[in-house]
Amino acid sequence: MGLLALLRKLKSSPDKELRILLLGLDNAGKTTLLKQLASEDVSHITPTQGFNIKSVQSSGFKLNVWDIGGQRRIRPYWKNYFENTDLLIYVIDSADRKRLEETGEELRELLEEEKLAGVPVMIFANKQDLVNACAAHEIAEGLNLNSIRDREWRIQPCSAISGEGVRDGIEWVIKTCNSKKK
Amino acid sequence: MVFSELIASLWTQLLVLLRPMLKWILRKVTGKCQLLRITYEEQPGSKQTKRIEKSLRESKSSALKELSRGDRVDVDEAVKNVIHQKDIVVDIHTKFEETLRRCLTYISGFNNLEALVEGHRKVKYSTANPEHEAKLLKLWELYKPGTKLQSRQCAQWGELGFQGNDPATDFRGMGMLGLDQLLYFAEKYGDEALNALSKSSHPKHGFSFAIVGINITELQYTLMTKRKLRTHFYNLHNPRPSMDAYHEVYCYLMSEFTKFWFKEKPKDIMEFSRIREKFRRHIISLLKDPKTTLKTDFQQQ
Repeated sequence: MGLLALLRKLKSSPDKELRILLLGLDNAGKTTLLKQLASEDVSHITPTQGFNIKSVQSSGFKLNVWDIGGQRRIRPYWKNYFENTDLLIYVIDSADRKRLEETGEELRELLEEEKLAGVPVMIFANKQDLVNACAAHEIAEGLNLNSIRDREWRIQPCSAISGEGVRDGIEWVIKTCNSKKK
Repeated sequence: MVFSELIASLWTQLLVLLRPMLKWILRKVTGKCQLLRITYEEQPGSKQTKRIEKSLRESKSSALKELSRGDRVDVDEAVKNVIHQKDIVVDIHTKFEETLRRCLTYISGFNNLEALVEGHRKVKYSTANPEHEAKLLKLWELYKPGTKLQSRQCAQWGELGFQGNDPATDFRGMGMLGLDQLLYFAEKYGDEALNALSKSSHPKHGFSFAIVGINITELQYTLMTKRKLRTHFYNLHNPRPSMDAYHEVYCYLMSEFTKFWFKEKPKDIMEFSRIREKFRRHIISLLKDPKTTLKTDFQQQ
């Protein structure tokens, strides 16, 4: 082993790993968010058939983020990925007013899942860069988020494509997991 | 690990430093510059063109470097300049001029194609554009002959393998390139395209045809921008490929992917990422053979 590797090994303790599940309807912006987290190019995204997974390092944590496709056909498979989830990130297309009800329904069902009981949820009100986007507080009201009492939750306005708001959301994710894991 | 990486990086650095010296020695010993040596060492084909391209790219002269990346190179002018710059006596090295001209035409043709492809990809699908909308409806007619689309936004699009009621949101980063390629496949090879769609429709072991199609557009696009497709295009008869030549590769990939998918016997759609990656590696391994052209039975005219 080289000197450098040896030094590196002494310096850092192994990162704490977190399993994060990224869900939401199709075209919500899950993959764009994932790529933004990994500091990758977001201009060549395609619809996710199946799932993507990436590991992202952030403030001493290794986030293993599972991005599962959101089309109706794939939603029945979401439950296969619930086990051992530390935190759920739910992404909403704030400009897709027609499907706000549908996305609220999917979220409600997720929160009722036994395997996700008590798992904190970060809701990204995505696509705030679009002029017709709903404000985060409107979404929170529409989805009646205030009725969530069995877990920690937060809604964060963001634009996954520009990256605005993403960092703030992830800071909350890490803080929340950190206090839970201690 | 780190140590071996260090050695590897030092070694590359050393090669970069030694390369000019080595070139100089070879030039003195053989009496030929690198470009000229390649025309003697390689037969016409993708390997020769790639070696010429590499030599130009690594050249100290910015004019020569430019020839490896230019998409509108005046080939006649460039050949004249290289012969002059490298002091090549064409009466002695009789093949040189012809070989260089051929290679430069292929290189510039490929670079030009890459620019064309990027142009199509950058055009976002727009529901406000009647031409885009017409293409989308044409797509329905070609893949669902005899079935009437109930309305522009409806659940029927799912039968074609789009995600929701409006396909417009599925083209995303691939823009009009994704739609054009799905269209080209059905227009040119209708039987093959309908066959792929019908196989993909298996309720348990199938896949979503249209969005997999858009994924394959992305796969081909990445192979293109990483210049992996040079093997194919440098082996084609026509050194100045058009968009149609590019779409032909797509037809090949779609048809091969469909076969590949079922050969892998996937449990369900969640295996897509794995199988797609395996398929990508398979195509890259094919492209490592300098003789490869990506063509299948139904494309032999």
